[in-house]
Parts: sequence; C-alpha cells; structure tokens
Amino acid sequence: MNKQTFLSERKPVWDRFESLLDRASPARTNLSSAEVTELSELFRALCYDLAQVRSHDWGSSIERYLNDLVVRGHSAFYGAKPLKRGGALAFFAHGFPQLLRQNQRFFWAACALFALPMAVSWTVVASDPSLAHRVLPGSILYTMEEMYSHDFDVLDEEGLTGQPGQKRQDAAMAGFYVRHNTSIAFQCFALGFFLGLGTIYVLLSNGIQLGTVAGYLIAQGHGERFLGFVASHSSFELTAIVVAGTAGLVLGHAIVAPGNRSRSDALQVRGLVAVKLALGAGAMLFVAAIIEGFWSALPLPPMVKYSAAATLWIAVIGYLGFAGRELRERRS
Amino acid sequence: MRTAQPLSNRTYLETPENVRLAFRLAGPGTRLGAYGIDLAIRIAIFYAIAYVLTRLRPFTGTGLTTGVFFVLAFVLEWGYGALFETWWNGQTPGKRTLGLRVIKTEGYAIGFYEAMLRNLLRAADFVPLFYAAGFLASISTSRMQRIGDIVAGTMVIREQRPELKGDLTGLLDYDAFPLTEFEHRYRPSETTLEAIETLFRRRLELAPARVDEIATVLAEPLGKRLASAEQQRYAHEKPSDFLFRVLRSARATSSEEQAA
Repeated sequence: MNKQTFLSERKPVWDRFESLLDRASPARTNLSSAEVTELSELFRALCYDLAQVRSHDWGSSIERYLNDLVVRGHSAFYGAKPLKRGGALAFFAHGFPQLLRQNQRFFWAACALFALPMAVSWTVVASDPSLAHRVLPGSILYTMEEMYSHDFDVLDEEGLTGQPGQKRQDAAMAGFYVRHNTSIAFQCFALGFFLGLGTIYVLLSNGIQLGTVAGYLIAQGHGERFLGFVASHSSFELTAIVVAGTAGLVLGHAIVAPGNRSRSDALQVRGLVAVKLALGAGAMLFVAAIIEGFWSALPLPPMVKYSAAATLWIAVIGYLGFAGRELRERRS
Repeated sequence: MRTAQPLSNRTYLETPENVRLAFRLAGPGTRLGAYGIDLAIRIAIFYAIAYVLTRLRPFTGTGLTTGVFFVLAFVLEWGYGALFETWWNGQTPGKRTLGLRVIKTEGYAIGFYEAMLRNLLRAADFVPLFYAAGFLASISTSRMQRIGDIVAGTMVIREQRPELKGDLTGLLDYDAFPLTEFEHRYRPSETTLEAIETLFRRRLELAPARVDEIATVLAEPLGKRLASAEQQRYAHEKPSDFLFRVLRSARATSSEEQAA
C-alpha cells in the first residue's frame, strides 16, 4: 500500500470520526448508542492508522493530522467525570466535614497557629493597651475605637469609615466581608505551596492582629459592644480561617513530606483535598458575612446576642465535628 | 538515572491503545497574551457591572447595590478563570482566541476541581510581583507548568483543528522529468517531498527571489543526483522551478502506481 491509496481509503473514515466527535462534546452527548459503539471502534482504527503512518515514511503532515485527531478522541474517551447533580449538596452535607476530620491533625495545627498568638496578644494588650501601637498603626486603632464607641444603627453611609448620623448599610457590609475575608482565606490556602510558610505567616499575623484589636477595645472600655458584635459571626469566620489554614498546611505538607509518592504526585493527590477544604472555608465565610452584615450590628440586648452566638458556635462545632459520621460508619 | 531531554515545546503521552501522542505546549509568551485578553474582558465586565448597578441604585438603595457589587467583583476576581475553564472544557475567552486549552497531564479534559485548584493557586504564582514565581516555574518544568498547573496536574497546550493539506493546484504547470533523468532510479524521501510541498504552497506569498534562495538549499544536492549536466545547471540557475518539477515527477509516478 502506498500513501495515496492509504489516504483515499482511510480519509472518509477519519472524516466520519471527526463528525461524530464534534457531536460528542462532554457537555452534551447527542449520540445514539450505536453511534457511540461506532465512535469507539473508529477510535481504535484511527490509533492503528496512526501507528501505520509512523511505521512508513509518509511524512509529517499526515502524522500530525492523525495525531491531533487521536488527541481529540483520547480527550473525549478518557475525560473527567462530569459533576454530579446534587454533588454540591452532598459535599456540604457530609463530604466537607468528613474531609476536614480526616485531616484533623492539620486542623489542630492551624488552630494553634491562629488561636495561641491571638490569646497571647489579647491578654498582653488588655493589660497594657499602649502595646497595641506596636502591632497596628494608630489610625486603624482610632477607627476601631470610633466604630465601637457608639451603637451601630447610627453608622455611616459608606459603612466603613465611621461617620455617625446615617443608617448602616447591611447588604453593603455583607458584600464587603464576602470579598475581603474570602480573598484572605484563599491566599492563606494558596501560599501554603511555599512549604506551608505563607499559610503560617497569614495565620500568625491575623491571630496577632485580631487579638490586639480585641484586647485594645476591651481595655478602652468598649468590650461589651465589641464582644456583642463579633460573638455571632466569629463562629463561622474564625473557624473558616482555620479551615483555610488547614488547606494551606495540607498543601505545604505534600512538598515537605511527600511520603512514598513523588513530590508532584503527592501535590496532585493532596492538592485535590486542599482545594475542597478551601472551597468549604469560602462557603463558611459567605455565611459569616451574611451574619456579620445583617445580624451582628442589630441593637439587641446582650443576652439575646450571646445566646444566638452560643447557638451558632454549637452549630459550627456540631457540623464540622459530627456531620456525616453515621454515613461513613454505615458505608465501612 | 534520568537522562537530559532535549529542549522542546512538545510532550508525549502513551495511551491505553499503545499509541504515543504528541502535545504542543504553550509557552509563557502566548499564555501572557491570553491573560491580557482575559484581563481586558474582566475589566470591561467590571465596569459594565458598576454601570448597571449605579442605574439600579434609585430603585434598590445604595446598600444592596454596593453589596452585590462587592460579591460580583469577588466572583470576577477568583472565579472567572475557574468557571470558564469548567464550562468551556479548559478554555477561557483569551485561551480560546489564541487556540490554547488546559488539559490534564494524562491528556484528557479537566474537571471543576482542577479548574478551581489551578486558578486559586494564582495567588501563589503571583508572588512576589506579577506572576514572577509562576514564570520561573513554567520555564523550569518540562511541561511548562506554573505552580497552579503543577498542583492541579494540568498543562496548557496549543490546539489546532486537524487539517490535512493536500492542495497542490498549479503543480501541473510544471513538467515532470523523464524517468531516465534519475540515475539509480532515485526517489526523494517523503520528508523531502513534504518540504518541497510546503514551499510550493507558499511560493505566491514570498518574493520570487526569496523562493529561489530557500530552494537552493535543497536544489543543489538534489541536482547532483540527476544524470545530465544540463539539468544540474538548471537546478543551479532556477532552483525553485527545479524543485517543483522534482515534486511533480514524484507525485506523477505515485499516481501512476496507484492506477496500475
């Protein structure tokens, strides 16, 4: 057989394959079952054709053509599974908390990296407020103090700068927190690639800053209003930051200690775990932002706020600690 | 032990059907181009959202529109690449324009989590300024992967729609050499003939002098194979005409074989 006869014999087959392939995009499969069988037979025939072209010296253009066709076929046959309908629901109902519990040693490490510096700076600054200026610039401390020195229903138009006299903008605040907090959480996760160091830095610095603000405001006598404001949404917000830190540490650990795998294999396997944790953290921060925007600033008696906060904390701990437990046991 | 591999913009993969497939990788330059297009689109969407929300402000109040704006800006910043690459099978508008596609290093399509992972990790690629870490990673890995690609197990390839170029209209204007001219029944290899074909297709796009200049490289050694000194001089003086006649001769004989 020479090149010309081969071409004229096989070209119609390749065209047929291509036309079937065009209709078999992963999003919408418009092929009948007979056509799927035909496509898979054609695919194997094309692989054989490609091998034959390579064994003869039939030039690079026909080889490139067949190579590209087989690449398209390969992608169609071995594609990733499409996302299941209701997959997101199952993920948040049990997948996410299960995954977090499977990686709980990273969770507790992230928790320590965040909570310990927060507790230390909180107590230290509460006993000596002047130390706050070593951590945060005076302008931020002033803004914070201004925010918590009066009730929230007379806050500013922009919602951010603390000009009294105008209605607070709940939705604007919620939107701002979604963007701001989730961006920090995603960075906290991604920077874990650098041996986990970026994640550790984000956790430590956020812990120290939050502790400083808390200690400072309490020392200045705004404790009641401040704690009433943050108690509720901190349940989702602080936990989510620790979860994002968990994701970053999982990623960093894959590089530092890949175990029996090569570093790139370990990264791919644990990267998939880490991104799921990071997305879970993002969703938690969305909830936190809604609570922070619409609930936290309401002028309600402290008792109401604290009982709501306790309920939310129990809900978060119960969700992350126990959701999906039965299911997992039943399966195993 | 690993042997050093030649520097190449290709990567190979063996399929379950025992075929070795070649993929053409996209380098940092092309990817920067795609990034630029996507950035322009993102900025345009950003301003479009701001414009629409400003118009809605009298009806909904400032609070709601500002909140919606922040959320949409967030989705645009972190979700643009991931969502497009999930829905468009590894392509964003910028990548589609330049014919790039993200695929798994195993050669198949990426899913939602891979798209999410490689795009969230842009924050690591960006370090310390404007994708410096990502650039370093992509020039030092064999598959030109930035950090997000390494972790997600993906690579960016150049994708061309397969096309079989068979068009040689105009070749009949050239006369085939008589078979006796070829000493030892010489037949140029298919690779050589393809090189001539490529030149033949481009002969009208290039200046005639340039066509001859390129043709000389092949015409000189080929001319020496011919029997008569007269034809050798012809190869020297009109290299492109000579090459195209060689091509005609080769193609003519193969179609004669086909007829036989």
